[in-house]
This record gives sequence, structure tokens and C-alpha cells, in this order.
Amino acid sequence: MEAITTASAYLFSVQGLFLIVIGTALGITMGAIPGLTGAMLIALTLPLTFGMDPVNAFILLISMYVGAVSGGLITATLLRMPGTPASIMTTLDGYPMARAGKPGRALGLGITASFVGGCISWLFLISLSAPIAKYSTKLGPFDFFSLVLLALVLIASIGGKSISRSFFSASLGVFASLPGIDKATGNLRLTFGFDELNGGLKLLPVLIGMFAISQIILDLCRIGETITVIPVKRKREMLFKLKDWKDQSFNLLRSSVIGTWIGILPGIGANIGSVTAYSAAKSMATPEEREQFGKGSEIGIVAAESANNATIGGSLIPLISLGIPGSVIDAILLGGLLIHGLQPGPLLFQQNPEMVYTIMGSMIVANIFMFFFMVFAVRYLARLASVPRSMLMPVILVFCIVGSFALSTRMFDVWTMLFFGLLGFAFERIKIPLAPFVIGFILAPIAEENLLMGLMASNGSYLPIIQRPVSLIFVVASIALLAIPLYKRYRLK
Amino acid sequence: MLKIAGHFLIVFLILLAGFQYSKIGSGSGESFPQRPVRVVVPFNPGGGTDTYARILQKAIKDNDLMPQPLVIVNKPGGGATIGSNYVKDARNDGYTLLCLHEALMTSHATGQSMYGAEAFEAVAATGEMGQVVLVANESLFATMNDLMETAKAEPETLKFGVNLGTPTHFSGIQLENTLPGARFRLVTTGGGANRLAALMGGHLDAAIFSVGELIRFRGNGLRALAYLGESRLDAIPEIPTAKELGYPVYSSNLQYWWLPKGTDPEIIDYMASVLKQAMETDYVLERSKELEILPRTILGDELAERIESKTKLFSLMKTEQRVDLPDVTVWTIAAICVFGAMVLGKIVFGKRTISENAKEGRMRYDLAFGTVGMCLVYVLLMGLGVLPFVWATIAFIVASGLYLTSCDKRKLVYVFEVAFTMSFGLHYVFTVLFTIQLP
Repeated sequence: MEAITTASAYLFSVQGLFLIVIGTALGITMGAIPGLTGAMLIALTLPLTFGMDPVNAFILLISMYVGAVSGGLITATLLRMPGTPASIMTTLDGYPMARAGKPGRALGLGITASFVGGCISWLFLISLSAPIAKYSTKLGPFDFFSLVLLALVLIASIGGKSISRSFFSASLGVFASLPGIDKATGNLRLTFGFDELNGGLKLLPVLIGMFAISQIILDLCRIGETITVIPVKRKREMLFKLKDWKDQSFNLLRSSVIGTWIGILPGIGANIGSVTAYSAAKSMATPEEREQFGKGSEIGIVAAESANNATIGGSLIPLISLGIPGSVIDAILLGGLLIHGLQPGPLLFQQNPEMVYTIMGSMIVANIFMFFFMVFAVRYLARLASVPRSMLMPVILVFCIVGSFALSTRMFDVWTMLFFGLLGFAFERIKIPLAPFVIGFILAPIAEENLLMGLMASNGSYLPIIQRPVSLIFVVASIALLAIPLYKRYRLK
Repeated sequence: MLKIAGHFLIVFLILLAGFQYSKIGSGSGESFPQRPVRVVVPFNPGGGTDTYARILQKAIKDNDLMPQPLVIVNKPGGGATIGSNYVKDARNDGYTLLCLHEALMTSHATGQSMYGAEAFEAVAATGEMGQVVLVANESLFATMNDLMETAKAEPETLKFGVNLGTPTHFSGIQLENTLPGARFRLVTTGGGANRLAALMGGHLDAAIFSVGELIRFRGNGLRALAYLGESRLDAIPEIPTAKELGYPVYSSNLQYWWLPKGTDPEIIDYMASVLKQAMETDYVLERSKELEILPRTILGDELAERIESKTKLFSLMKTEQRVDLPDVTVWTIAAICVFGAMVLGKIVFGKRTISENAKEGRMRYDLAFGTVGMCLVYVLLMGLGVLPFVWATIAFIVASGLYLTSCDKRKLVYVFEVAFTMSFGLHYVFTVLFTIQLP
């Protein structure tokens, strides 16, 4: 109880509130600029917090986390460029809806869904930290492998019209994740003699290339057309009406719970959370509603945005209860805790309870501030995108280049980004979906590592994949997801 | 009126920024260091090495041990080979240091990298971290003896968590070597947190952790069987050493500081003395205690000896693969071929649908690829070091802006404003606020 008082004293002091405002606003702005992500902002801010009180430092960092995951929806909706990887799924419906003349509505749905997603996951965070922590250690390597399998099947089934094209794209994505150190032997593979490839292709340059650069090239091709960056006029249409709450409440709850749950699982964060919730929403929709997916579905936007914000609360659970990061950003936050001499885990609850409550408290306060800031400032943030196209494109190109370069200060990442930009453009031209490529690229290393770990533990036997109950559930679900559409198509013929 | 004032303001800011910029990089003299010294940390920010390097960085700055600051540069990936390779090829003027522990030697021994310690000048080794063997609380193995005897009685059944190619891997093999016939089933687990989760979930029987990790994870239902050091550690006096129990394995790791081969010995000695002084500051002593790192410093001949003996030890060990693992590369290429064939088949034999492209207006491929071409030239100029970031960016934005607006005179002013504010602004944000070096 005393710790809660201390934590609120920190949070609601002038300094605490100032840090929340700064952190959230910076996070949203960074999130809204393609090529600059929350992970980068937080990684770059971390050294600046060394001189700060650890509690204040974490108020700032958690606010940035909340802001960055939320801010991505602005450019995802208005420019079809996910500002952060977390809002890939928002581009599918947010952009078509904005193009159809309802940008305010699209943004409003996203913002409110983000807010509700954050709140619901926060409830899980404060109530489930301890019991969930116990459960997550029970998942073994084969369970993770099957989970990734399931996620790949999910993405392939929503990636586009053709499952074979989606799988082709996904397998190319897996291939792009292979260069670097072979996890089984420790030797280098597929580096073709380039020392820069020793660490493999980095996520961010590939992502910026695939989504941002390919879109820039496409936009440049259409520069003669009227600009598709959509102005947002009325503020009123951004708020939920009573009918919306009634229509979307179940979707909000389901997507937030999925997001929270995905967040809890180590390694996968906001992007997978929103992918999974989006697929779930699509598969549970009525045929008329499903027709709308990819063309500006309200359900799709709400599912994607509530889930990605819900992963924040979810991924903080293993971070503070076990010291195990639930996503890339959490890995940086873990480093931050250690730098400040704090040991996350059950010990943190005993020794620094005020830290635990500060993390929990700043998440909800930042979430509330994020909502108001986004509603009032989104029109101005969106102006970032309504600069004349001929001016905007070179500027975004420079941002992408600097962002890729700053990751590990080398030109190689910039070349990687440009290469994948051209590749993504080519994919778009021949109608191969981009999302499975990126998902395959992100998940393959996780799958590979867990498969090898499992095989080394089982002495080379693959049987545990179907012997372990959790893994079996994932495998059966994947097969079902693949078999049902095929069976339906067969019956239609 | 406002507009004109706005233009003036921007011009003023540009001049100011240009003035600030011109000051950077001037000045020369004789004594080292004349400018900030970069420390390459080949891991992500927040990792053990990064944390440690930043502790020393702060100690050096706060105690004025050097006239110029240390700047930490993270170059993660490739089992630390990206960062080490970068420093290996850097100019040997003393301004680029590498901070990397014994992974430099182990990755050479496993064949991950083509070079080891011999490719560098060792400056100092600082801060010793011990290793421990852990089991879960409810484990059947009460003592180290139980564990080793089981490994001998039922070889290759005990799941023993290590990180392949790193010092933990070698500790595992060293343990096996102390008892003829004992074999673990070595399981790679990645970093310490993953290993902890696997151990607690019952997916491993035992695992190697650093002492720092033991302290951090203590209270999570873990039990230490042995400490792999020469004598018991003050912080964990109740844990016996493996040597006491009859398994003489000493495995500890230090953060080594390396300079490129051929660096002036005076600079090496200077950096060594700075690091030694930093290690003796109260701040380092205090933080070391918190992180359970012994504040030890090894220099000179002792350092050379340690590197030589460690390199020899690692090179003698066999790190062959023990389980048949699938070749992921082959499987992936097979999948690409299968799905590619399916897609091709559909295109060739499938029903033709009316091309949607017909609906689209005239595509200006010329503009797109013209701009992309300029972009490639821009990156190339920076990559080759022909132009620094600021001038290259101004040139790129002006050129592409004029190209895209077809030299519209009304937009000329904006093009230049955007070019100047972007280049100087970004340069300021990254180099001054974030201390990231731009090309």
C-alpha cells in the first residue's frame, strides 16, 4: 500500500506528469514517422536517462512505449506506411477507408481502439502478473515452434487472395532471415563473403524497405495524380458513438485479450498480436462483413489497433515478473532496469515495489494522455504527411536512410533497405503480398532457434511436436486453418 | 509579412547551424586524445558488456580521467563479429576501441570468425565474472557429484543448457573432460533469460549461468551446485567451488579492451592507465558490487599470458555437433521452389483475369526511377566518404525536389528551406542529442 502511495506521488508530481507528456508525445511523433520506431527512440533515450532517478526514467520510457505503438496508426491510415511495425495490419483497412473519404472515422476508430486495448491489457497486467509468469515457463521449445507455425499459417490465410502466393512470399521471407550465423553449427551461412552479413539482415532496414520505400516508389509513379494524403477535418467524427460501442464491444474485448495473450509470450510483440487479432476478427465475421476486410473494414481497424496496444500490457507481465522480455522494446527496457541496478523478477516485487507500481501506473496514465493527445493533435500530426508530395518524398527518403543508418551506424543497412524497397515494389507489381514475407522474416529465426533447441534436448526426435499438449493444439489449429478453406473451395466446385 | 519573417528566421537558423558545424572537427595538437574516443560494443544497448562499458565511461567522465570523453557505439550481431571486424579494420590511431569479452577467442576456436585475439592489441581486461552450475530447486540432483555421476552413468541424457560457441559452451565441455566418460546433452539456449525460463520450465536439467545472473535470478526457484572458480566467492560463500568437489574447472570471463593491430604502444599504455584508474574509482567499485563483478584489472604481461593460455585452452576443445539437425537452408530453398512452381503454374494455366492495371492512369516510372537513381547516388556519395552527411543531404533534397517539381520557381524557396533545415536539423539531433556519428 505504501508503495502505491510512493508510486502515485512520483507519477502525479509536476515532473512525473511532464515526463509522461513528453514521453507520450515524442513516442507518438516517432511512431508517426515511417522509419523511426519506438524501439529506436527508447534505445536512444536510454543513455539519456542514466543520470535520472530510475523511477522517473521508467515513467519516461513506458510513456514512449505507449506513444510509439499508438502513433504508428496515423501514417498507416493516411499514407499506407506503417509508422511502426505494430501497425502493419492497420494499413490493410485504415488506408482504404481513408481513401474512401472517411479519414477521420478511420483514425478515430484506431485511436479509441488503441485506448481501450491499452486499458484492458492494463487490467490483465495488474491482476495476472504473478500467475501468468508461472505458466509461461511451462512452454517448451517445441511449443514455440508450433506457435510460429500457426502464426505463419494465419498470416498466409489473410495475406491475399491466393494462399500459394502468400506461402511463396513467406518462404522468401524465411530465406531472407537465413544469412548470418547458423544456429546449429555456429558457422556462417549464405553470407557470400560479405562480412556485413555476419549478423544477418536487420529487421528495420528490411521492414522500411519493404513497406516504406516500395510505397514511395509507387507514389512517385503516381505523382501526377491528386495527392492521396487525406486531410482530416472534423474532430467529432473521431469519437465513438453509442452505436459503435455496441457494435464493437465484443470485438474490442476479444482483440484486446488476444493482444494481451500474444504479448505475454516471449519474443513476439505488437505486430504478431495485431496479426492474430485481425485474423480472428476476420474468421469470426459474417460473410458480408468479411467482404469488407482489406477494403476499409471497421472491424479490421478496431481489431488491429486494440490488439497492438494490448500487447504493451501483456508484454510487460513477463518483463516485470520474471525479467524476461516479451518483445523487442521490452528487451531494451530490461536493459534499462539493469543499468539502473534493478533486478526484475519476483525480487522486484519485494525489494522495489514502487518500481512495479510506477511501471503499471505510468502505462495507464500515458494511455489516457495518448488518447487526448491523439484526438486533438492527429490533424496536425497528419499535416506531416500533407506536405506537397514532391517535397515530402525526398524528405521521407532521407529519414528512412538516416533511420536505417543510425541502427548500427553502417551504410550496409541503407543498401539493404534500398534493395528490399525495389524488391517490394516488384512484388506489388506482380501481386505477391508483402506481409507474409515480413512475418516469415521476423518469425523464422524464433522458429529455427526453438526447433534446434528442442531437437538438441530430445536427441533429434521430432515426436514431441505432437506429444506435447500445447504444441499439439497449435499444430491441429494450423492444419484446420489450412484445411477448412481448401475444403470449402472443393465443395464450391 | 509573416512569411518573410519566417524565411528570415530559417535563414538565421541555418547560418547559426552552419557556424556551429564549422567548429566541429577543427583543432590539432600532439598529445592523445585530441577528440572523443569511440568504444565499439558489439552487442545491443543494455546488455552486460554495454552496461559495463557505460559504467567505465561514466567513471572516466565524472573523475576527469581523460581530456576527451569516451563515446559508446553499439554494433551488435553476428556473435560479436560485426563489431570486432569493424575495429580490426579501423585506423590504428587509438580512437577506436573494442570492448569484448572472451567471445573473441571462443568464436575463433569454433570457426565463427577467421581471427582471434592475435588480430588486436590487448589493452586491459577488467571486471571478472564467475560462472556457476544451476539446477531447479526441485531437481533430483542434490550435489554436483550426483550430476556428474549421472552424466557418466547415462551419457548424453542430461539436458545441459549452454550458448553454443560462447564461453558457457566451453565450460560445459571442460566439465565433461574432468570425469572420463561423462557426457551431457548440450542444448543451445541463447541468452541467460532464455536459459532461466528453460530451466524453470523443466526443459533443461542443469545450466551454466554467470554469477551476476545467479544473483539476479535468485529467488526464482534455482539452486547452485558449484562455482567454477579457484576459491569461494564472498558474495556466495555457501556455494562450493567445482575444484573442491573434484572437478577442477575454472571458468571466468572478463571484459577485454582491444585496439587495432599496430597501435602506438604509448597510446595502449595511456588507455590502460586510464582504465586502471577508472576501475579504482568509488563509482566502479560500487556498481561492480551491485552487479557481482570482481573489480579486477589485468594488464601487461599477465594479460598477454592469460590471452595465450585461454586461446590454447579453447583451441584444444572439440566442439563438434552431437545431434543430427535439419539443414534449414535446403528446406527453405525447397519450399521456395515448390510454392514458386505453384504460383507460376497458376499464372500459366490459370484463368486470365482482366488486368487491373488498365484502370490505373499513366504511371510515371521515369520520375520514380529518376528519384531512386538520385537516391542511390546520394547513398553512394556518403558511403564512399566523398561528401559528409549535411552537404550530401542538401544536394539530394535540392536536386530531387527541383526534379519532382519540374523546377517550379514558386517552390524554389521551399525546396532550399527544407533541404537546409532537414540536413542541419537531423545532423544536430543525431550527433548532438543522440551522439550517433553520421557519415
